[in-house]
Amino acid sequence: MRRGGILWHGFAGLVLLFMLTPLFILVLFCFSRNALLSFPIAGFTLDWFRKLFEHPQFWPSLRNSLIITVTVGVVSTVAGTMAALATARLRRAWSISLTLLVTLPVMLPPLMLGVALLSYFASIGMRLGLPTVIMSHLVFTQPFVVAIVAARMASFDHAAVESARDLGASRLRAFFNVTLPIIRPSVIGAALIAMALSLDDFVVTLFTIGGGSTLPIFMWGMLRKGVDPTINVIAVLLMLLSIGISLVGLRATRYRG
Amino acid sequence: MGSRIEMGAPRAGRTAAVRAASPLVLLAGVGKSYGAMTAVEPLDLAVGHGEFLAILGPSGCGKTTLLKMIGGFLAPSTGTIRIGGADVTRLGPERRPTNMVFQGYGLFPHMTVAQNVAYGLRLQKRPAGEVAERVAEALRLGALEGFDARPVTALSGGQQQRVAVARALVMRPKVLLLDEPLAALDLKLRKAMQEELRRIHRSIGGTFIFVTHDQEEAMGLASRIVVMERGCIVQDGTPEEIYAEPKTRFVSGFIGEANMLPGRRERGLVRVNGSLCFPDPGPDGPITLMLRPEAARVATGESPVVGIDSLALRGQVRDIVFLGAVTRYAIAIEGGTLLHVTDSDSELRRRLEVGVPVTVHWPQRSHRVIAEA
Amino acid sequence: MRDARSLANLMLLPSGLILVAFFLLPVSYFFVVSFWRVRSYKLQADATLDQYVEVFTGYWVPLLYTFAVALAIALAVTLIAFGFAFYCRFRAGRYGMPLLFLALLTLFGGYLTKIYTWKTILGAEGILNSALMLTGLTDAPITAFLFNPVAVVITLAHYTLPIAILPIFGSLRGIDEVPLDAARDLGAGPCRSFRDVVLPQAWPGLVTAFALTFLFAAGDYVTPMLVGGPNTSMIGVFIQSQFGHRVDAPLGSAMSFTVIALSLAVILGFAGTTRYFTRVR
Repeated sequence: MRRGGILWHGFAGLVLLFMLTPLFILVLFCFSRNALLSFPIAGFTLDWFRKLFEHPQFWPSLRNSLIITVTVGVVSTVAGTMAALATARLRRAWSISLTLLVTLPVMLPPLMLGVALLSYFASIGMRLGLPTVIMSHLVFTQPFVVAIVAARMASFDHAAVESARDLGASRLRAFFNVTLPIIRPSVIGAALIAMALSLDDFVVTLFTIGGGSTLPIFMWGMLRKGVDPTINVIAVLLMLLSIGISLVGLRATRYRG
Repeated sequence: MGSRIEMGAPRAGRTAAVRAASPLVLLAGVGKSYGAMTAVEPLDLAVGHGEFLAILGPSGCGKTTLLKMIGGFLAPSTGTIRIGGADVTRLGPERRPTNMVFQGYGLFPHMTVAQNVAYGLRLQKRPAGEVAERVAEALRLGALEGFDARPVTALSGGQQQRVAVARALVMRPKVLLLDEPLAALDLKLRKAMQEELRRIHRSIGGTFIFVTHDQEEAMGLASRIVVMERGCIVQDGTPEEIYAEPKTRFVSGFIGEANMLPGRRERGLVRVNGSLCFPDPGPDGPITLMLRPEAARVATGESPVVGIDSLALRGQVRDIVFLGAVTRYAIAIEGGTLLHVTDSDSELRRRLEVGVPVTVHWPQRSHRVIAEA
Repeated sequence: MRDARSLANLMLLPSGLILVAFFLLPVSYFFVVSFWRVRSYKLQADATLDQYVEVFTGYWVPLLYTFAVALAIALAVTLIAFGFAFYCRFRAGRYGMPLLFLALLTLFGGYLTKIYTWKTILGAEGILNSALMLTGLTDAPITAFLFNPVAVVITLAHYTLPIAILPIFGSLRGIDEVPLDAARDLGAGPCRSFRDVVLPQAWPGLVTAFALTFLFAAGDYVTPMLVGGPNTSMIGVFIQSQFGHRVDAPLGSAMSFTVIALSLAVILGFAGTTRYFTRVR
């Protein structure tokens, strides 16, 4: 195939511009002195950061977000990795249908998942709070862990584990001495991607948290009050956190879908 | 055989004179370079009707580049390519009377065997009846009857290879190009496919050009071999010619096994390994004496009988390997150089063991003296 | 062997527990609720189709509107994502992977953040207007940028584009280049080899991208609320309000399952149509 002509380059350039410009603008404006988000930029300041950090709700929200993100990351990684390892030993048809079943929640729009969980928790009399948020996040983060680790297991050389067993290692030892070190990059990457998804989630969290707050919920509250440049700062913080986490994650797994 | 698949060319068996007068493929000054890097030096090549030509060389010698230029996948930097008299230099592959069997086959993974083979005919908008007939014919030629509806991904390597050949041949190309056609197969299958390709070539009498890095494959298949090294054609001839009379050290080392002894020629006298001296006309300078392992003999005893036109070197047996039909002896001659000699004499094998002093001798006509550039 | 089997079952347990307890059970329960009713703010078990009747009689306008918007977004995004992924795979040479990586970076830009950014860009006192006025292209702010369906489409397209690029690139990456050469060798021009070799193999990726984008757009409510304005009442906004001040879970449930069922129908329709056009002839 020929390398692309000018039209192709132009098209790709426009797509990238469309995707990246808004994020650049956002970063730019959280250092802008303007109270309104408009040109021309009157000067640069770090005031909005100070204002955000002084906000009484910011630190509790950050704390909740971290608790949820880390717990979800750990639990979904452990559960998802175990499932991926188990399906890797099953027959192909079985492992495919199991993987499909586990990834089903990704197809459900977050709003539907959120309201379904809300009704369900109400019906079994479970109080809403951080635990219910964590349980809910597991549903849509776990499929990514399973998919990433299962993809790694597809090219896994089981002979390495068998030779460890042959040399006298127990199942558990063989897992910690051989399997885990080999698949570690994928597992770490999967954990980070699960964390990025959990950190960024707003819709499911809103319906399952009850009275509490996380960073996205906090941001939502400020959004409803009107335009305030501190929103830029929290948006940028969220963005940098999730991009940072996922960058490290993608790096670790070399996962491209 | 009466196969109805035939290539758009006169039947093989025409006289050599006709071939020479109107070659089917004619390359004149064709070369390819990428910036400062030259893949193929400008070269000339003529391929006649009905030839089975091998382009042989190590990886990176420019053989695949040359084939892709003939097929139209790469435009040459210099020169012209004519096929059947018409200038095709600027035509893409879809407009050339050539078809290619790709390295790794390049089958369409989302199609069945029959869909793969029929694809080119469908593009030509041939009537359905003709397509079905020609596809069936091509599948029969490739011994693929009954595989029509199989997805190509479910086939073995050898079967995929035959689908690729059938898909190209069904187009009735004037020239069939094959890029390392057997490289992906294991040894046993490769031997079987060699026979298969020879059978197909015989039965349709077409013109095949194939590229390989495997000299055995080239010897086993081709009626003519072109040896390439670093973008240049270094020798062009029948397999027998190239084996018996390699023009350069590179060719002799690349085709078959050979012992190489360095020496010098001065005023028509060649000296090798200190003790050996014999007349051989030619220019003065360094030479290499090339001796095939099967051309030499091993003799025991203090004063063995050797022919008057023979040369002899004294040495000691270092290693004996029984290979079935023949036994291979490694013999260290004076100066420590190892000579390999193969012999089928079982009585000799019984007499020899490691450490025994022997004499290696051969008639003068069975070695070659190659002048070093 | 028996030992290994029971170990595999044990290892599937945590994952299965999460799936059953927090997905299959809630969704099944939620589905059952759609046949219940609410009396004086209390849920009552029932077996009525009233809620579905209500959805189709009372909410057919937002339903239709939602599907029109979602279809526009999904088609546009799938097409653009395919173009971009194709460019990265076949046309950009060694810059393909870095460009793809740049695009996928925005996958994790933040959901609320992106919606908010578009609101500030398109708003009356926003970045686009102030930039236009600064350069003298307009005198007064153009209010038409925000609070309309186009703003919803742009915002959702921006969010879903990287999600759509991922599966399409995945399927394009698996396409070997040798069969493309083979197609040309057999007489196919660039368009034919694209249609006969590339498209059929890219089809699963296209359908996945379309499905993800469509479902997301059809189920979203934050975007229409923030940038859509009062006239863009997508069904998500109504679903959400059944769990806010209106407290009518059965109706909200019926709406949700109607959206999901109709979305699946649209996705199957898309899959079938595109399969027809990319089939091997």
